[in-house]
Amino acid sequence: MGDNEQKAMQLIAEAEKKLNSSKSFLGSLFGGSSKLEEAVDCYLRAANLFKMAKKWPQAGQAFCTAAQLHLKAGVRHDAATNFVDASNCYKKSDPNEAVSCLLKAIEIYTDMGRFTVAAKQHQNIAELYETEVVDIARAMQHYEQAADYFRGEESTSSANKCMLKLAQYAAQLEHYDKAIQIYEQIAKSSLDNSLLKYSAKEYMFRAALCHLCVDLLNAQHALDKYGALYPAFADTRECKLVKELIEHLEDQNIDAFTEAVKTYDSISRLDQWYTTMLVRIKKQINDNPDLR
Amino acid sequence: MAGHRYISNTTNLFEDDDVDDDTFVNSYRSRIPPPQPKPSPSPYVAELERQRQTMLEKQKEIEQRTLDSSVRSIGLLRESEQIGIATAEELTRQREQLQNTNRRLDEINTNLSYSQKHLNGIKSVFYGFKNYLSGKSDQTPTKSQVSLSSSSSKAGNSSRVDDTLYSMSASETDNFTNHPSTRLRGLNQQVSAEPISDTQRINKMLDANLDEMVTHISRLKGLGMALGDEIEQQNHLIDEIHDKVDVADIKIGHQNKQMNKLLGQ
Repeated sequence: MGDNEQKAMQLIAEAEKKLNSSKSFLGSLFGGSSKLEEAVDCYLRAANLFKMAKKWPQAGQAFCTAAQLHLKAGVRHDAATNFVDASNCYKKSDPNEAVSCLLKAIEIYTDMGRFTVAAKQHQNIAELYETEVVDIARAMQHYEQAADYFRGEESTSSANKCMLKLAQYAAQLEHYDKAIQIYEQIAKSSLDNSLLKYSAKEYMFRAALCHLCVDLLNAQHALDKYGALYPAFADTRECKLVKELIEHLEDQNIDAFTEAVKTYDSISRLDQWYTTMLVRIKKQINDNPDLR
Repeated sequence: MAGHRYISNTTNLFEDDDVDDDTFVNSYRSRIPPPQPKPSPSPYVAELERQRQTMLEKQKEIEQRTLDSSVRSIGLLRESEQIGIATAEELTRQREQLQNTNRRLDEINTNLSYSQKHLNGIKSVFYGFKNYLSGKSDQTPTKSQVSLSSSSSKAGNSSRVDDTLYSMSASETDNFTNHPSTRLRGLNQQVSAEPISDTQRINKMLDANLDEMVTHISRLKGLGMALGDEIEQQNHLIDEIHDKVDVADIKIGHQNKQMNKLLGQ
């Protein structure tokens, strides 16, 4: 692997020489652009060699330089692709650098009018913020941006995917209104599609849980509304669980609450988001002791 | 017999408390030695009794196992449904991308034919003249409407499946109550307050679980059919895209060769 690295360093030196040489008067006269292209080519090859040698920072650096040269040459599309490659390399070493590369790429794409690709990159950034650098607020921002671009390009299902993530984090951060809005909207729109209507009940369940975190009466109204929208919802285990939880909340009965949740969990695993929500709802019982 | 006391107080046989007649008569029964225990039931009966006990235990075990297994099946069915739902969402996303690609390819093809015209104009005066005669087409050609109409017809197809599925899901809840057999057996009546035996209770739970499984399985069937339809439609889309890409490929190759000839390379 050191072999590759050395070759890569050589190529970079060569490329820099070419760049410098093209700055000379003669060079710029006679095919300065081709020197630029050759330099770019060297940089790209060097970057690939670095990738093979697993030297991610240097690979990212090389890709970035190649991208900037492309920009100078006016080939925006290639520049953007190189920025994306650079961010892939940086992902493994320095997430923040990766994010900045992606932002530059997004700038170029939106400039060119390629919003779908830009949206996809926003999604990538948001995922980076989700996993590597845990910054939920910025992740939400980018998901929102991605969803907007997707909707602009009429890719509703990709937009929905981003909105769902948005709603998930909104609920986790206690922005229940936003989460409820998103879940209800997606549930309603998915009822129209023969394939997606099976997922409607899950979104209604999530929206109902968010309602429960806010207010009992709201939850009751919401359940009735969903039942009217989607008749089969009333029979699902989800709806029954929410009804039971409402009942137990009214009676301030913690044990029955936990019991109902446990039964549901034994049939269908409740993932981390659900458990967080349910724990919050349970805390409500503790915080509002019945003063009767 | 010798040990029995006819008189309560033997120390003073001449005491006044004579034994009452009644007491005397009634004490007779206690004097009779307690009846010998019946001869132990024949070993055959005991064996049968034991077998009966083991059978009952086995029955309980089996009932419990059946109940547990039905609960597990419900869990599994729900999992399958979730997997199916995730697949469905992924498929819709894929469909959108395929439609996007389709549209872009149409644009590409029209752009290519447009550039071909330009190339013809460059190649020779004669061709340029022919172009002029075949009409001024300086504005970019409009996008073809073909792909849009095909996607709308597919939407029409999916709404038919949609309707059947919707009505199916709405009516499945009524099947039990409206079925004549349940009406006959009075099973749709409210449960009476009389105590129900263990077996009956388990049977009730089992029935409820089986009903739930039926609902789930019918949903899965609907989901599966819808997924199959979706995949078939997407196959058509992919075939279209394939054809268009082939056409574009040929055109591009052709034009590249022409341009190379023009540039003298």
